[in-house]
Amino acid sequence: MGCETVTTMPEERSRRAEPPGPALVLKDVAHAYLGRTVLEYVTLSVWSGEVVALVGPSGCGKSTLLHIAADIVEPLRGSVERHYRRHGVVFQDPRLLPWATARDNIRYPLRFHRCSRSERRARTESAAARAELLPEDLDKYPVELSGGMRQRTAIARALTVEPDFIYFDEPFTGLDVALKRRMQDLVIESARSVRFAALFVTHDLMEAARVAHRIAVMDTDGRGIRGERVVPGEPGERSDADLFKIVSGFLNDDPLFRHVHDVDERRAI
Amino acid sequence: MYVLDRLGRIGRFVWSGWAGLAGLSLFAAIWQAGHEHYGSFILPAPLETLRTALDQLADPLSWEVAGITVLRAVEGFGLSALVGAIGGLLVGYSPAAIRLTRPVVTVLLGVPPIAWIVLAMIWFGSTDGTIVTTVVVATVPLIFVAAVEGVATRDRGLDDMARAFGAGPVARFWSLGMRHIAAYLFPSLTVGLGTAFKVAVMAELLANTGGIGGALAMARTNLDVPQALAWVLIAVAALICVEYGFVQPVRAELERWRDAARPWGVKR
Repeated sequence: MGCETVTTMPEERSRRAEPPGPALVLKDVAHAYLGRTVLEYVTLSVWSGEVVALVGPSGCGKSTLLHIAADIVEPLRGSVERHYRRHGVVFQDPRLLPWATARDNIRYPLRFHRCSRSERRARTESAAARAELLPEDLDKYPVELSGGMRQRTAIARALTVEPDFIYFDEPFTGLDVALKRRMQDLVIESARSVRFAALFVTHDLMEAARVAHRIAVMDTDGRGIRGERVVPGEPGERSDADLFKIVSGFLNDDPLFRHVHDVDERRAI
Repeated sequence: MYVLDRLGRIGRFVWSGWAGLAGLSLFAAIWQAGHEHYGSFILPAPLETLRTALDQLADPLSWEVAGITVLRAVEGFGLSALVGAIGGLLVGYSPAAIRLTRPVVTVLLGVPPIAWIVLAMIWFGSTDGTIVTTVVVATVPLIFVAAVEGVATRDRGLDDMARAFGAGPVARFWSLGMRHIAAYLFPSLTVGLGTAFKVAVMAELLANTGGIGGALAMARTNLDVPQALAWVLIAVAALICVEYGFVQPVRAELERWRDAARPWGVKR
């Protein structure tokens, strides 16, 4: 981990690019909070360079699964195999340090990697540019930024570590429709140009269909993955009409998606 | 850009001194009115007091007297900062320990410092130990509670974020925990320092162990009101110097981001 591996990156990357192996394999993962089972028998894999959307009703344990995969939470049972070099995470709440400027927030993860000063600056600049942050906003504190700019900062922060895998935990739930679309486009665009794989947790089927190659549907009670569907076409190349057709097809004719919009807010965590 | 920003903030800080001066002048005016109403014996004029204080400061012996008090207060404060902060940090990370120590802290805060002076006098006699003990007992709970509060209110979301980016527990503590706790600890340290000075003077007066408190006791015996007020003035002036020369600049540095949320209006 860290900058020192950057020099070896190109050959490593080309080696892996040939046959797309799995980037993340979750096998039989189970988890419980204070004795209450929230996840059981979850098996899921993500191929390198692939964006997988994980959908399911609120409170079904999607976020917990993501936290387990991202090494924030230890699973109770089961195994997590990570075959990527480094990951970044974008949370629902941007989780920026309130006392640091946008620039310092973006380069925060680089503290944990051995990195030269100039390297750090270069990476911060390029990540900020990729997330389309304006240079004058980099010196502002999170309180001075709008919700969309904060989420852009969080995305830039995930990109500074030059990840080949990014976890998105319902990242755009709080944003309005237009902003959400722009953010999704940002994810699609950078997934293509940086070529990272991603696990994108969302409860919005339209969002899942826009950004992902494949959609995995989680069981209502967290008892495994109910099934998966490959979304036709490449992310970013599907028109709105296509997307509408895909999503309404899923919702009306596919039994897999029957419970996706069931919400029991009394049980939601 | 950075230098300009820094100069601007220093300029604003110095400029805000006028407001402080205006407040102090108002206080002096009320004091003067009291003096004119009650006469010199009860309440000497502010200018007279200032003159006495300056005369005292010209005397090297007074510096020695003040030095004794400062040394005791700082000793006690340093000890309680160390004990309070470290103890608070350790306890804060364990909910069970918080529950155990909460009643103890309530008891310690509830006992008036004057009661501790009596005990300390019995234990240590008229020595530095009495003063330092009283100061420590009076300030430790303040600092301890703030440290516990700081640890208990840390943002677990940020912690998870750092963990997701590969930060170990030590790195998380230094980059997130400490920064958050400092925002709680620092104000309590300032209050603690003020309390340390006040309690030291009080303890000196009651235990008759020299220092500013001793000088005040002498002035009381001689019914020398200007002398007594001059000593109070000196003690307060010393505190103001520490407060605005050190405490406020450090706090402003820590709280810069809060200032950013107030784009216009009164900058405090």
